[in-house]
Formats: sequence, structure tokens, C-alpha cells
Amino acid sequence: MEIVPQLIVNSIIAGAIYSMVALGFNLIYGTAKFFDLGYGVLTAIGGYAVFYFSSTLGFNIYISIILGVLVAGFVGYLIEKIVYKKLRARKASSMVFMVAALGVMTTLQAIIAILFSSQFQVFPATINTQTFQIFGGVITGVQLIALTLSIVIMFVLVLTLRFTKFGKAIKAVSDDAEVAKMVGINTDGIISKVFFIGSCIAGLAGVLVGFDTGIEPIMGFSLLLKGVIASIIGGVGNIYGGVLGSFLLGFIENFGIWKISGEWKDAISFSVLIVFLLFRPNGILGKKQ
Amino acid sequence: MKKIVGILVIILVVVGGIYFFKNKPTSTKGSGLKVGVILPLTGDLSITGEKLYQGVQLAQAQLEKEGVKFVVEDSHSKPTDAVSAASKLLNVDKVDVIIGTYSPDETIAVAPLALKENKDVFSFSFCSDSFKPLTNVFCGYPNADKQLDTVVPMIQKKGIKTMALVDANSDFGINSRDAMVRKAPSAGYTVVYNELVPNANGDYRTFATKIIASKADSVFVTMDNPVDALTVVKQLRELGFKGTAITFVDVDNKNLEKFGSFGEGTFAPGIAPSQFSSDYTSMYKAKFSGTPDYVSALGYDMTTYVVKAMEENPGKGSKTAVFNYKYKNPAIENFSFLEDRTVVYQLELQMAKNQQYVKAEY
Amino acid sequence: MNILETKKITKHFDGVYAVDGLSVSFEKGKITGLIGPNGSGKSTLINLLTGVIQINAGSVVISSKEEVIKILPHEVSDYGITRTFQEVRLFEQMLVIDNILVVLTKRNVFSSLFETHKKFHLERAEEVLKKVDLWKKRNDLAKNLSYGQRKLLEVGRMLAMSNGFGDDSDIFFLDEPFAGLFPEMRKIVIGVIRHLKEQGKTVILVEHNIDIIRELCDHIIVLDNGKLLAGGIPSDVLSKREVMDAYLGE
Repeated sequence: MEIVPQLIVNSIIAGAIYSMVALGFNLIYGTAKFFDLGYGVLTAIGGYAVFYFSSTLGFNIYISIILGVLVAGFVGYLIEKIVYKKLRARKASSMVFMVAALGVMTTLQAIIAILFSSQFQVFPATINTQTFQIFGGVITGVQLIALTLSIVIMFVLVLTLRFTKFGKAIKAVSDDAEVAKMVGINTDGIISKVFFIGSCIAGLAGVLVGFDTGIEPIMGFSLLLKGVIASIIGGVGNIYGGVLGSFLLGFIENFGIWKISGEWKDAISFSVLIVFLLFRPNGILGKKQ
Repeated sequence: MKKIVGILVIILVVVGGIYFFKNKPTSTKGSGLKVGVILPLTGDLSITGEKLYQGVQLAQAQLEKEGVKFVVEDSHSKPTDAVSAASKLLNVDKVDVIIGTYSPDETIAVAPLALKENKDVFSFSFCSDSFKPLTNVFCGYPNADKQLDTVVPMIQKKGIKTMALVDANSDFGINSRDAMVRKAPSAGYTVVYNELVPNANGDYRTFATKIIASKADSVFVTMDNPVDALTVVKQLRELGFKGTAITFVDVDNKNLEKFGSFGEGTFAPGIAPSQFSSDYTSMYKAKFSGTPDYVSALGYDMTTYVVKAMEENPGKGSKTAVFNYKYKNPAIENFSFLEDRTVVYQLELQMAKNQQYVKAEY
Repeated sequence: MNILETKKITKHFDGVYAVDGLSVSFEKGKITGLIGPNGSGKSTLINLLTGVIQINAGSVVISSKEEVIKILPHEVSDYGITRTFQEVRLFEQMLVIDNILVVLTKRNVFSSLFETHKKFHLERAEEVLKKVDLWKKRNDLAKNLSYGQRKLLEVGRMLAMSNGFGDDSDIFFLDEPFAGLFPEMRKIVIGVIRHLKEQGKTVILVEHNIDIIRELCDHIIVLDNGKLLAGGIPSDVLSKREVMDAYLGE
């Protein structure tokens, strides 16, 4: 095993997971225009739902995966309907939204810990046990699936936004929600659907992380953080930006600690974030200041 | 209307007052000792915390008959919560001694509060070097050096010449790392990779990559959470690492189950033996059914030793009591406190075989 | 028959009455001009009737059926009301053609996630864009159009809502649609307004250009200081002394 090719593979693997989180996060941010800090916990919900279906109820693992992703989507949809929609109707400030989202995250994390304990869990079966060689580095089957899915999801989102009625309505709401409302677009309906889809993606990310390493109730927070950093690097609200930022972040983290001591791993991601916030807050693909 | 409300308030106050005074803690009878216990019953460290608690409960059952009172608090695996718990035990419950906490960080946080009240802390933590200046702290495990002595024979027998050290950037991790560095010359290996990693990360692949590139024969991993250490080993194996894996963690078969074949053959040094006194074994079986493990035995021995010592040396304070006491019939063979406030007892090297921890064979 | 009627509606901002006990009515199927000097309350009136701001007192009767004391933004399209803005508001980051398409299928987005626009949607969009002479620019981003073209696109969008698929709009408020337009473009907008009238729609037009008012409107309402100054057919109203004074005096 050569070190540089393996580092490249490691970076791509990390980037794939981050990009799923960033995709959903950007979709929601672009449409509902708020920094959904509660988004991360939906990865844990997806993971634990799969755990519940496969481990506690004994369902087939593939059925559990589908159910788990749908549960995550549904929970996200419910949160939007119960919490965020009401805040929007009251024209709450973005500060209020962020605090509400944090509250959602904390509550759901606590509920998961109560129901399943805070211990690290794994799924009772796996979807793939093979390893492969790409670019001269080793990648497991699960990691390869995660990579493939992240790219597929990106393309599906891009095509939907560009070509479907629903996609254009999302773009309209994202562009100017007031005008969208005035031309008769059901903005709340669009936002609900976006939350459902975004939350499904988060759930899927959580499930894949579960197969690769495992799940724990607080897993969502660090995933969200990476997704947010990736989005800011690539350009918040921009679908391509989120993906670009994610893979970039993967490379920066893994190559960063190649020569520097590993204790600096998190510091590196945050330094990059700060640099972008200071000098290019709109990200690489965002509009110039 | 106001009159009715006023009467209701008065009734409530009176009822509340009666209830309060009725349940006010009366002075203790018998030995009058009050023991405060702090354990991580929830949170990351709860697997170990609950086991310790089993042992404490067994000791509690016997000692309460002699009039000793116990107050148990949960640290939630967090130093901040351990401090709140200690504050309550010392200032509200006015305990005579604190038994617990578990992690070094929790212990270091709690020690000053106890010192202010002139009370000692008998921690279940391993004996970190940072405890040396804390004159009121006793620790419950032999220190890292003594624990890691158990792995040296295996290293020598297997002819391991190079080692990679991967340790958490915490008190525990750094102590362990330093111990392995110290042993290198006498055990006959060279450290070819030495890195401290951030805690609870999940993605150790690049560290694993660097380790494999260093061509180490063996890897020594310490993380605050056993699951993270096993994850490092798993990711090493996924990337093709064939060398010997040593994880310096608490042993729990539940953790091994989560890693399947990846954990197979991993060594775990410094484990107390799996045999305990027959008295303790039957006591444990009666209450919890199944065979006891050393964590619960530790909980039992620590609690029993300290409380009995204080009963036999009333008014002398826990530290003096413990040094003047000869502990008979410990659950763990040769359990005793040393003058430097560390413990010593029988230890062994274990390994994972068929998803169970057993005495190591090499 | 009156399609829209205000009954003594009032709106004040910090004690200043922008619209003061105003009672006016708009006849169905006619083009009504709303004129008056700056600050007379024309824009405020339109904003009240299109839910941008809320009435302080009085009520509005819609289609002789419902009498309401407030109109909320999302109810506006339910009442069949559409408007243009003085500062043009488009979907800047979307293509010209998408600005039209997104309006044509407004009600149907729940039907399916992956449906694309049908042939008849595209035909209708083509029809509309050709009417406002923007068909050639259909694949440009809205934000790249010139000022005049943006106004035309907004008019086109409004037109698309007049005879869409499902719910139509019946009442069109145009807020200074001719401002800043070249003569050729003005002709286009006049054509659109006449087309709407042919379809039986009601148009309410805020405009400063008296010639256009004279040419287009069936009925004129003149406001001054938030109150009704005069109302009637153009030839009558525009010859009244008070009206001329109000305009010249500003």
C-alpha cells in the first residue's frame, strides 16, 4: 500500500460522506433560507432507525435501510411542520431559527440516547464485506457504495432542479419567496417537501456511516459541522459548491495531517473555515463579494 | 376568592413543612459513617460505571447493615457533572469520604473540592502521574507502567521489533504512551511512529495509513473509549495491516461483538484476573446471576476496604484509616493500597478470541 | 358590476394618513386608471388591496361576495388578484422562460416530484413571451435583461397568470408599467392590457402619463392626500379644474 494513493482514497471517502450532508444542508438553506443546525441529528435518526428495524425488530437489512431513510425524512418533515413553519409565519429572526434548530438537535439527541443508550452501536448485518483497490489504495465495499451514492444524489438533485416542475418551483421559492407566494406557488408545501428530501439524504448518510464505523447519538453534530464547513468553502446554497467543498475538505484534512501531527486534524478544518469566512465568505462557487 | 386562595396556601405550607421535617435526615445510628459515591452511570463511560456500581452495591448491602449510609450520584461521564455531584455530596449530604470517580479527568476536577472539606477521594481511575500532587486522592488501578508490564513478555516472545503508538490526546493516552516509550529499550522494540490523535473521531484511516507506511510490526492503541481503539484496529486491518495489535482498554465482550473478526487476536494488557474470591463470587451470583468480572470486584474491594478501615479507625480520617488497616478476604487477590496512594493487585494480559476476552496465548 | 370595492378604508403610518376613509369601486371587465400627484395614496391603495400592507380601518368587498377587513399575501392569488411592482420583482437566477413556466403550473406541484412541464405549458409560455417580444431571450437569465425587458417580462408573467391552467387571475393591478419604457415597448404593454380586457379581465392601472390614461382607460379614479378627488370617464375627469390644480400644484 502506497501512502499517497491511500491518502487520496481516504480523502475521497471522507468527502463522499461530507458531501451528502452538505447536499441536504444546502438544499434546505437555499430554499428555506436558514442555517438548519438541527440537520445533523437526522443522520443519527436514520442510523438508529435502521438499527431498530434490523436489530430490535429483526427485519431484513435492506428493508431496514429503506425504512430508516424514510423515517429520517419523515422526522425532518415533521420538524418543519411543527417548528419552523410556525416561526416563519411569525417572521422570526434568523437568530430565533438557529436557536430553535439547536433545540431540536439537543432534544432529538437526548431522546435517542434515552431509547438506545449513548453507547456506540453497529448494525447486525452488513451490506458488503469486500475490499477493492482503486488508484492504488484500498477501499471497502461500503465506502465505495457511499461514494457512488453521493455522486448519484448530486446528479439527481441537479437534474431535478433544472428540468422538473418541482425543481423550478424550488428555485423560485429560493430566489424570492414573497414573489413566489404572490404568483401562487405553495411556498410552505415546497419547503416541506424539501425538508423531507433533505432529511432522507441525511438519514442515508447516517446509515452509511453506521455500516462503515457505527452509530452513536451525538454522531450528527460533527457530521453537520463538516457539512457546514464544506458548504461555506464551496459556496453556501450552491449544490455543486457543497460537493466541491466536501471533497476539498476531505483532502485538506487527510493530507493536512500527513506531515503535521494528528492532534491538529480538527484545528486544520476550522482554520480553513476561518480563512474562508474572512476572505471569501461566499465560498469558491459563490458570487464574489 | 382571595380568602380561599389564602387558606389553600397556608394548608400547603403546613403540609409541606410536616412532610419536610418528617423526612429530615436523622442522625445516623451505628457507625454513623456517610459515604458519597460518584460513578459514570450514564454517558460514554457507563459500561464500566455500571459494573463498578454492581460491586459498590454488593459492598453497600453488607455495610448498610452496620449502619453506614451511602449516597450515590451520577457523573454522566463528564468532569463538570462530577464536580456538581461532589459539591452536593460534600456540602449538602456532608459525606465523610468520596468513593469514585472513574476517569482521571473527573478525579482531577473533584479533588480540590474534597480537599477543601478535608475529605479524601478514592478514585477507580488508573493511577495517573497527575494524581501525585493531589494528596487526598487514591487511585484504583495499578498505574500504566504496572499494567503494561504484562505485555512485555508477549512482545519479547513474538520477537516484535518495531511499534507504532497511537494514543488519545488526553491524560490517559499520554500517560500510556509515555509508559510504552519507557519500556522500549528493555523490551527490545523501537518506536517507529508516535502520534496523539483527537478523541472520538471515527475516521482514523489516515492515521492507519501512516502506521502501515511506517512498516511497524505492531501497533499500540489507547483511546478514552474502547470502541474508538477497536475502530482504529478495524481500519488498520481493512487497509491490510497484518501486525500485532495491542489495545490498552477496559475489556468488555460487548465491544468485541461490534467488531466481529476485526478484533480477533487483539491483545489487552493490564487486566485483572478473571478469578475472584469464592465469597465474592457467590455474593455476585446471588444478586446478579452469572460470574463476576474484575470491574465489579474492584468496585466491591475499594468500597469495602475504605469503609471497613474507617469503621475500625473512627475519627482518624480515611487516609490514616486505610494505611492502618489490613484488608482481609479481598475479591481480587492481593488487593491492597500502597504508601504512594496507588493500589496493587494481580494482573494479566488478555486477548480477543472468538469475540470474547480470554487469557492471552502466544 | 363591481368586482372590487373599498368601504372607507384607512391606512396610516405614524400618524400620517396615507389613505383616509377611501371608498372607491372598480368595475368588472373595465380598465380603470388610478391617478393623482405623488403621495396621494395610489401605491398605498394598491399595496393594501394586494396584501403587502394591512388595512387599519374599513373593509374591502371582493366580487360582491366577500367583505374582508384584511387581505393576507397568500390569500391574494386565491382572490384572483395579481400585480406588477414599480421595482420589477422577477426570479433573477432563473431563465426568462422558467419565470413564465413556474407560474403556469403553480397549483400542480404536489402531483409529482419528477414531472417536467408538458407540451401545452411550453406552447403557452411561447405564446406569452412572443406577445411581450421576449421569445428570443427565453434562455437568458432574468437578471441579465435590460430595464425595459425586465418590465416586459413582469408583464408577460402577469399575462401568463390570466389564462393559465387551473386557477386564473381576474384582477390585475399594474403599478406604473410604462415608466422608463421606450415607445415600441410601450406599444407592447398597451397591447397586453387590451388583450386582457378582451378576455374579460379587470385591469387597474396606476400611471402618470395622461395620454396613455386617456387612450386606454374606461374609467378614472383620482386620489389626492389619501382621499377621493374625482371619478368618472376620462374626458369628464381630465377636464375638471380640481384635477388639473392638484396636478399642477405639485
